[in-house]
Amino acid sequence: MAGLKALLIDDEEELVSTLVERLGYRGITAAFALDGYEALHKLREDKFDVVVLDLKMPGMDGVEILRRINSTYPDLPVLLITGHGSLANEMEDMPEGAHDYLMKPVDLETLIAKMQEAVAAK
Amino acid sequence: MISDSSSRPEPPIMPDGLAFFGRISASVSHELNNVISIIDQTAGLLEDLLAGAERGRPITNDRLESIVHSLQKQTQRGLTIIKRLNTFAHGTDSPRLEFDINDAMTNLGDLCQRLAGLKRVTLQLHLNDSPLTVVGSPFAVQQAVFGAIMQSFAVAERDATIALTTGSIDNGSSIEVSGPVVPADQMEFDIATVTAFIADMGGNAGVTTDSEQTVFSFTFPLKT
Repeated sequence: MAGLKALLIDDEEELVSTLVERLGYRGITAAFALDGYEALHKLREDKFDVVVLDLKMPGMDGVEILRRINSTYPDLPVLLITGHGSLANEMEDMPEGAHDYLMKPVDLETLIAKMQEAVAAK
Repeated sequence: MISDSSSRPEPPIMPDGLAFFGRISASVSHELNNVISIIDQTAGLLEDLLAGAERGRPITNDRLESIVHSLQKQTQRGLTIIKRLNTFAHGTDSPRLEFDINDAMTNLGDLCQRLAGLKRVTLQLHLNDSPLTVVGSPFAVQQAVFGAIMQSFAVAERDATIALTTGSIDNGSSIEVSGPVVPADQMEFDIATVTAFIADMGGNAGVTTDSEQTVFSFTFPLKT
């Protein structure tokens, strides 16, 4: 998994900065963005292997961010994170263009496994 | 402070009252989930650092202090959220509670801050200097004002400011929600239903729009 680069998109800075540090200890380079605009900027500036995206975001919501990522970077896998009891509470089906989803609180080992799956499947 | 002044068991619930309660509860649970997620990851980080220390990578006092500070901050944040929700939930205890409009709007404003953040707008609270004690259902008042806030949010552009203001009028209290102009074809706030509903506690409601803003106003008689 060493060399993998991930972009985490979530408006809870303390959460994503901690995840970035913990992923770093496991050989995964990660960066974070606190909203959709910052995320799209970082995607233009740098190359990532996988994106992890919280659905509930201020301003541009997660579904819109996903749509824009899919449109510009069709081969970039996106994992969704939702804080709700089930994805069904958020939407009827997995949004088109999302590889998979995880529930908050996220288990780090599960997140890493899903990132590996997503990258392997692309 | 809310205190019971009636033996009537059931509070009045406006149409969509359950939807209002559900929307607030969903927003609060989402925020609590974030708090728990941060505490969970911070605890995991501490485990990682301890594992590193066992392998000869010492943890500095500054690093430990920052982790303790983070855990304390998130614990306090969680407790504040729970207190807000508890106060809100007890607003349904009785149809005739003696309560301070300032307290009810402070709590509603706090509960709406996350929704404002998601919309990228600012909700500013301006409170009357002295308490505005009324008798009635705080839940009903909060639901009526919440409808006005959500209507303002719905038409607001990014970075807009919506003001929630309490004040005193002759023998009464006032609440105003001032925000961007709501075009007539986008007005979903049901003024007739709200007015009829808060009339039960002597209240009144109105909506005025000029070229710059739409103001939702509510008045209630003070407790005598």
